[in-house]
Amino acid sequence: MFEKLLTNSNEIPNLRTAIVITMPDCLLYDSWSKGESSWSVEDAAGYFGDLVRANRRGLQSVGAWSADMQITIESADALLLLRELDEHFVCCAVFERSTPLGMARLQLKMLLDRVRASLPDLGVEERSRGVRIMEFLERYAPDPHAVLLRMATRTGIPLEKLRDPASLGDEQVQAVEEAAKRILGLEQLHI
Amino acid sequence: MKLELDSGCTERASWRVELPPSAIDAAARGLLAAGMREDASPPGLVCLVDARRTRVLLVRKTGRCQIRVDVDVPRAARRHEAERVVALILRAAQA
Amino acid sequence: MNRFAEHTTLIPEHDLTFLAGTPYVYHCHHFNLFHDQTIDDVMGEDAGFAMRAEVAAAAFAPLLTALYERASARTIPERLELAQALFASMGQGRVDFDLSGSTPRATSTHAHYGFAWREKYGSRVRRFDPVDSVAAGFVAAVFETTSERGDRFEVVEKECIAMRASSCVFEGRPATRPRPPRLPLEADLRPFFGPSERGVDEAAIAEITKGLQGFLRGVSGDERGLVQAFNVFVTQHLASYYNETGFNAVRHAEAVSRPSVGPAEDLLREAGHVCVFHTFGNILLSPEWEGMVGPLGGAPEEIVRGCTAIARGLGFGRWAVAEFEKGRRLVLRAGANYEAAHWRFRHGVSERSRSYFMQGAALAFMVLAHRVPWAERPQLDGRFYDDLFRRSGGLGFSIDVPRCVTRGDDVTEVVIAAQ
Repeated sequence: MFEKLLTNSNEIPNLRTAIVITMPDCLLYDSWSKGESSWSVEDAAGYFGDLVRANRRGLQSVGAWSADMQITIESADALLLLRELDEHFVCCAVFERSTPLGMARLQLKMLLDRVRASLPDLGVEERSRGVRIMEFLERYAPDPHAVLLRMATRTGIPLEKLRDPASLGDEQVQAVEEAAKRILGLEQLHI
Repeated sequence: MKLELDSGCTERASWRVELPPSAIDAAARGLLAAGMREDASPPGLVCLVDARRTRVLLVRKTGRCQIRVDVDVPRAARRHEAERVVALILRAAQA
Repeated sequence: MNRFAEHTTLIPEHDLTFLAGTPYVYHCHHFNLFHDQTIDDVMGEDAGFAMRAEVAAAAFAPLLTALYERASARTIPERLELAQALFASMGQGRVDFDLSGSTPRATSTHAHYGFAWREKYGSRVRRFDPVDSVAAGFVAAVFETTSERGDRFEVVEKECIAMRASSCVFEGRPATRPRPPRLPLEADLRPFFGPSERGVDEAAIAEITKGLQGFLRGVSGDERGLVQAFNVFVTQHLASYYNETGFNAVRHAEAVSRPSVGPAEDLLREAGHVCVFHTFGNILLSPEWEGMVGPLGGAPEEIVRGCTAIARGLGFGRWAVAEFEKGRRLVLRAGANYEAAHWRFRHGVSERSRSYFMQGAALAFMVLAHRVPWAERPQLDGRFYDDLFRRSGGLGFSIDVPRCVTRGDDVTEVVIAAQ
C-alpha cells in the first residue's frame, strides 16, 4: 500500500516511518521507512497497537473517549503521532524531532486521507484468546525466547500444544492466562 | 576524545574513551591527584575509584579507558556522570 | 583484599574451588535470576522460595560454623560481624542483623537478587513475590549459628527491593519443616571426580585460567556488598545451592508433572546458556580481559579458548576442548564439573545426563564463537540475545551428551554440532 502511496521518499520530507496496524490484534498491516532501520517494525506495531488500545480503554473509563482521538509522543529524537483510522486500523507516523507539531499533524492528515482510501473492508475474525495471550506474552515477557518453555513448565501443557495455541481447550487457556499474569506481573490481562 | 557506550550488563553504566597508550600513566597520576584512589586490578590494568564509586579502568597496552558509573546512580544521570569523569581524564592526560 | 581468601582452596587438577571446605563458584546476576526463576516456574513462587531458602540455609550453616571455628569467633557479636562480612565479600549484599526483639530480624538495601532483579527487570515487570531466597536462607543460618541452643529458623522476606521496597526485610520464626539433607563438602565430592582432562590449546588456556584465579581471589564486595567486576554483577556462590535447588526442581516435576520435566531441563540448560552469553561475553569484552589477555580479535578459536579458561577460572571445573572444528563441532570434556559430583553424592547414578549447566554453556561457547560480531564491539544485551533466537532461525546447533559422570561414566562429554 505505502509503496504506491509514497513513491517519492521525500514526498513528506520529515516523515521517517509510517506503520499501519490491524486492531485488535496489533499486527503489522503495512509499513514504510525512509532508509534502513535497526528496529523491528513488527515489534513496533505490537507495542503501539497496545498503546492505542490502552489509551482507548483509559479514556472510556473516564468517559472521555471519541473515535477521532490522536496520541502525540514527543521523545528525545522523534515525534510520533498515533491515529485510529477506523475500528480495524491504526496508523503510527514517526517524524523527525525538529518537525513543528502543526506541520506534522497537517502532513499526517494528508497522508491518512490517501491511506484510508487504500484500506480494505475487513470483517472481524475473532481469534482465540489462547492465541492472543501467547502473542501478548511473546511481546512483553522478560526473556521472550524462553517464554514457551516457561509456560510449559508452569502449566504442564506440552510444548507442541502451546505452539498451536488455537487448539487449547478452555481449561488450558485458563491455565495459560494465569501463568501469563504471573510471568508478566499483571493482575489482569486486558487483551 | 569521543565518549561512547561500552559493553556491559548494566544499562548505560559503562562508557569508554580511547587515549594514546603513552598517556595512560599521566591520566592515572592526574586522577589520583584529583582524589581518586587505586583499587585492586589484574595485571595490565589500572583501576581507580572515586567517592561516588565511579570507576576508571585504564588498559596500559591499548589506551582503552572505561568509565564504569555506579549502579546507584539513576539511569538518566549515568551519561552525565561519565562526562564529568571524562573531563577529569582529559585534563589529567593533557597535564 | 578479600579477608576470606586465606580460607579458599583450589584443586588445581580439576579447577574446583572451596571455601573452608564448601564448594563455591562465581556466577553473575543473569544466571542467578534465571536459575531461581526456573525453580519458581516448576514449583510455584511460594514453594520455590521456601525450598530455595531452606537449601541456602543448609549450605551456609556449615560454612559459617567452619569459619567461626577458624576465626575463633565465639560471642554473638563476633559471629554476626563475621557473617555480615562474609556475605558482603561474596557480592551477595550487606545484611544488618537485629536480634534484640522477640522476632529476630535482618535488613539489606543491596541484597544481590533483589537489587539485580530491580536493575534488570524492574522497569518492565511488576513483581508480586520476594526474590531473595538466598539471603533469607543465609539469615536463617546466621540465626541458627548464633542461637545459644542451636535453634533452627525459617526466614521469610517481608519486604523486598524487587517489589519496590526501600530495603529487604527478613524475619525469623522457629522452623517447622524437617532439617533438609546434608549437602556435600569437598571430601564428599572427591570420590566422584574422574581424570583431569587436557585438550586443545591447553597451555594458553591454563595460563589465562591462572591469571583469572589469581584476580578472583582478591575480588571482594564493596561496603554495600556488591561486586562489579568484568562489567557484570558477580557473586561468589555456594555450588550446592545451585545444584540442590536445580535438581530438586527437576525431581519435583518428575514426581508431579511429567510433561513439565523436559521444559524444566531445557530451562536449566538455558540458564547455562544465559550465563555464558552474558557473563563470559562481557568478560571477553571487558577492560580487565583486555589488560590481562590482550585485545579481543574475535576468531572462533580465540573465543572457545577464552570461554574455556573463564569456565575454569570461575570454578566450574577442568573443562577441556577435546575437539573443535570451526563452524561445525565442539566437544567439551571434564572429569569433574561442579554439578555432576553433587548429583552422584545425593542421588547416585542417573539414567540420563544431569550436567544441565555444562550442556547449555557448551552450546553458548559455539554461539559466542560464531554468532557475535566481536569486531563491532557489540552490546551483549537482552535485545541482542533475543535476536539470536528470533531473527536468525534459532541457534543452529544441537547438544548431545554421549558420556556423563552423572550416568556413571568417568568423564562428562558434551558435543555441540551444527544443525
